[in-house]
Amino acid sequence: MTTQPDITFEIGGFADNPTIVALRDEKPQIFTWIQTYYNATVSPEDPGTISLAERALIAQRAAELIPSPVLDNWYGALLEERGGVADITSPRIQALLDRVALVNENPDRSTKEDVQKLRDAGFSQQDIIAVSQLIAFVHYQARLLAGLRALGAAS
Amino acid sequence: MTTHRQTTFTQDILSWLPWLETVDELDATPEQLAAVDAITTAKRGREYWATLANDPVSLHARYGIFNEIISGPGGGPRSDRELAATATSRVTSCIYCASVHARAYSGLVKERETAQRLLDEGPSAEFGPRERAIIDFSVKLALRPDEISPEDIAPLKEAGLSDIEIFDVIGSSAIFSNANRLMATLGEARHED
Repeated sequence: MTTQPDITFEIGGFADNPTIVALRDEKPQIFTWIQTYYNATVSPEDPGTISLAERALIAQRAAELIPSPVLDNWYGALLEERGGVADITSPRIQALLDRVALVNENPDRSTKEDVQKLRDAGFSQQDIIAVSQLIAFVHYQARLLAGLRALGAAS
Repeated sequence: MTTHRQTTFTQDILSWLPWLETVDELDATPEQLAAVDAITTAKRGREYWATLANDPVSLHARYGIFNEIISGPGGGPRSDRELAATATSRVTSCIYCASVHARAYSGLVKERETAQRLLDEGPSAEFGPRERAIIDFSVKLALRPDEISPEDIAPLKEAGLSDIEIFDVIGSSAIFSNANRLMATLGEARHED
């Protein structure tokens, strides 16, 4: 019913699943908003100071830790397509990956000092929010895809 | 008004103190301010949106999807979504999120005990069959999403949920794995003294 790109159907491979197609027909706005959120976090028109390759790396690492194999593969391929990240051991990238791990594992034990670590690594307020939203998006997307896959197979 | 940090689960009204400056405190761009004003004109709760507005494009998208999932038309009862939100927030330990959505659930079902039991005792407490199914699924999706299988869908169907109602539970639990992480890693829950 839609000719717009639908990242959920593309990654999940739901086009031939009548249950998931029916859900989208009933609540199309949800799928449109997922696409909007994906674009805003993974592929923004103006990525600012967090490059598109860095965004793919952050998303890939979040997916790996959750774990979400389907998203790990997706973002791993995207990272390659975007040319990869040159020095993964740089303090900048390490600060980003530490943040991914913290948000995955111990969100309730994170502190103001953890935010300060990002500032110390040179990230602006906007950067910190952009990175937080990207990681949080992947956490949402991983669970949505896992739930849809189970529901689509249960019917 | 003075406040102290809230470290236990409660249905009381809490506030949220950001660890970053909000756009209201900074030299904000018109785009940043417009992003907040499009969401709320109220003072209460504004801090969260005004923090996320440091990156206005992602705020716009994130607010849109959240609102559609929790308040959008169609699908199952709103109380199912609030219960899934509360159960997820309980096990991911977002005290602020849990307080807001436990209170919303209690208001919808017109009793406070069910949500209070979930907050006090956690998901292993006793619940009715529909609540049990929603809580169990939400908790597993939050904590072990890679292990979710059709077998986890069966109890929801047995409890009488249709596919679109199950979709609502999936969506609510999933977006709270997102919301919990944003709120718990960018600020803290506070209670009035």
